[in-house]
Amino acid sequence: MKNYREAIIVVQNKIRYSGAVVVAIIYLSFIAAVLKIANPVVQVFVTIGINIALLFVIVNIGALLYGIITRDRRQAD
Amino acid sequence: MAEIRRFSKSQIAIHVLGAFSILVLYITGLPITFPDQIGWIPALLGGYSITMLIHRIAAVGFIVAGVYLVVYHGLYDIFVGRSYFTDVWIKIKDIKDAINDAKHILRLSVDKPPRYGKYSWIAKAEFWSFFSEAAIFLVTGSILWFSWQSMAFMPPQYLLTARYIHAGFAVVSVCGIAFHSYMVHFNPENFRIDRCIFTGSMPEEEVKEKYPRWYEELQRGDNSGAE
Repeated sequence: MKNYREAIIVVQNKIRYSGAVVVAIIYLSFIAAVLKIANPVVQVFVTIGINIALLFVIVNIGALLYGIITRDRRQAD
Repeated sequence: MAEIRRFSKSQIAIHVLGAFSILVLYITGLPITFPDQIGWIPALLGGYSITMLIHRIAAVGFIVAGVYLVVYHGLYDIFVGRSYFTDVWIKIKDIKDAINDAKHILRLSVDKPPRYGKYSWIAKAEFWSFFSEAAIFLVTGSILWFSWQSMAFMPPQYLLTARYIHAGFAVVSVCGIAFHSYMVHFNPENFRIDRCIFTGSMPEEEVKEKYPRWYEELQRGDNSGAE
């Protein structure tokens, strides 16, 4: 049981750091977009970053709906 | 395990309506600012006119949530007692908490992290930044929505300014939402999702650990800001 908990914590920490990377990419891509940097590599990065931001928003809608639908299942989770 | 009530039904309803509306506003509004990157969204929805129609319907939902928040909680604060607004009002302690938190994270202080009340300085900062952004969206969005009527009492270049302010704050707001989602969903303590905003209650142990000052207030019988 202890090993299981430890494994969960390891996965959760990985998610935490990958989440921070995703948020950082979104921030940097918006900054680059606002600054209108003409470099083609930066433009590809901006396109990827803004699409990730949009995906992030869609995931949030999913999380919101999931939270509403399963609001009576706190203990089960 | 005992549960402690943190959010009222009206707060849950406002969060659901406000959050859903603003997320739809991002999806339908950002392609206007970044057509080269996410122009596929209006194409998917059937064109810019339909996208703007959805944007305006979502805007109505967002305005309803905002007006309900201000009117209901404002009136509650005036006529009944302490409400949400009283609890999220920024106090000197919040500024001290922010400084102490920064010192603690940067290892500049050996003190323990601040003991939060019902709402931490981060939650208050998030609320007031969203609140001020919403006010800016309301003003600039109304100018853009009723552009012909607006031009009757302001020069046309003001419309362009309003458009830039609207789009600029939308980008800032998306970054704010990304931060909020990261703090709520990607936080290992809450992953996959923090249900508190949907159920309105939180386990007693969690309250004791995360919001010790609020827990002490509850123990003293001061259940402030229940509404």
